Amino acid sequence: MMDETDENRLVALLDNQLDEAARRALEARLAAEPELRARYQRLAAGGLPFARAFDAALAEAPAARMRARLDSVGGDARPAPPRRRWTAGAAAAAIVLFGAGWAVGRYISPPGLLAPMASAERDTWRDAVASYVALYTRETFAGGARDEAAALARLSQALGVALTPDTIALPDLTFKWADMLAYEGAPLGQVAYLDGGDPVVFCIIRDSQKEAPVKAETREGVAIASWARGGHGFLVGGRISPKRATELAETLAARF
Amino acid sequence: MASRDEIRAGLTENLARLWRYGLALSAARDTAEDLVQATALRALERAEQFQSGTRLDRWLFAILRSIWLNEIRARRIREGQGFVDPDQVLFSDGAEIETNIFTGQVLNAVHRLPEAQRETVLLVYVEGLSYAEAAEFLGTPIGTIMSRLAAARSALAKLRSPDSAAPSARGTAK
Repeated sequence: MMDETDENRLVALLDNQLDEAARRALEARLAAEPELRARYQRLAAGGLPFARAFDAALAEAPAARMRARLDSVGGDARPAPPRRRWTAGAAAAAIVLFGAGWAVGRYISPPGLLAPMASAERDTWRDAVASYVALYTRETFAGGARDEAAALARLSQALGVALTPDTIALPDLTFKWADMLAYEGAPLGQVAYLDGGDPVVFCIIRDSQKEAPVKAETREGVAIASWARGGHGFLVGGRISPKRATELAETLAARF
Repeated sequence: MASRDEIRAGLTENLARLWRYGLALSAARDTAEDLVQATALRALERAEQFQSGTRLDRWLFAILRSIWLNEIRARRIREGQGFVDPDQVLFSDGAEIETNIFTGQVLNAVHRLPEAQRETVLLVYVEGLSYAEAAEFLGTPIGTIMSRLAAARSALAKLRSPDSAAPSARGTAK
């Protein structure tokens, strides 16, 4: 006879949470009782790839805004909060995610959040990106890649550059996603990768910048290698070595 | 005893996971985000209560849960918003989460489960708590953890293949 205890035991068996003796006893019963076996199979069928699905859901978290909100929480007993943290929060909020047809489009920062950031001390879009990237962790990039080609097509259209899975591919880096952001009203495309465990971004801004070769610098602890060509500014950034950033930038600069 | 900086670092690291837990509890994205922010404020206020050497993520999860149960859910029920619309799609479908076309379906299926089952599925199958840890965290007997998981599995199996539903088994799961 089946009862709730049996059902609980079956789930514990599926989840590998029975001790050895209980497992053996239940397996013996499974061999002998067809009804119990049917129940077991049914419970097994209800075991979906929860972890994988929920890890993908992490990527839908409004990570940037939650960080900005966290950073905006003051009231510390300390006399002055570290400027870096404030600047990072400000810059992260200054880059507003705007709809690219992806979930982030639903999370346009409310004006109230942006208001205190209006005086953000930033002098270039590279500062803003560096501050933002400084907040990234491996976990920001948890979950699977999104629809690469479609996202890149949207970015290409908005920015006027030919971003495709081939042109953005970098050796040894895993593509994670492409997002549309904005910096002071200018469209800013961001392609995110993992370099081993390190978040790396390739950003493109439509701007009338003077042409410039690849140049490396470190801002907010983030290595930035940037260049400008054809009315676009480009950069590769991440908490990686400046040498590595330059190497990745050179590869992309050969294409853009 | 922990410093506010330590708590803040732990919060920064766990924002997305806290949001996901808030989403599993509330089944609403905006509520999940508010829960995270309320958790952050509460955790920073109570930094001195955190025992160094214990798991900071569990402490934060417990704060989030307590805010949900005692403040936000209570308020939603008072305002007549206590019930989740089962047709509301919380997650994009597989077309947008490319790696696994099934992903959106799994999330939406879990979303249709009752809150206690959603929460238990998340803690055990996603966050990796053992039955004993989940029971301790939720303050319930281990048997309750098991019967919630059994009920969730039964409901999801039915959703997957409606024809195979065994009528005799339905009454056993709660």
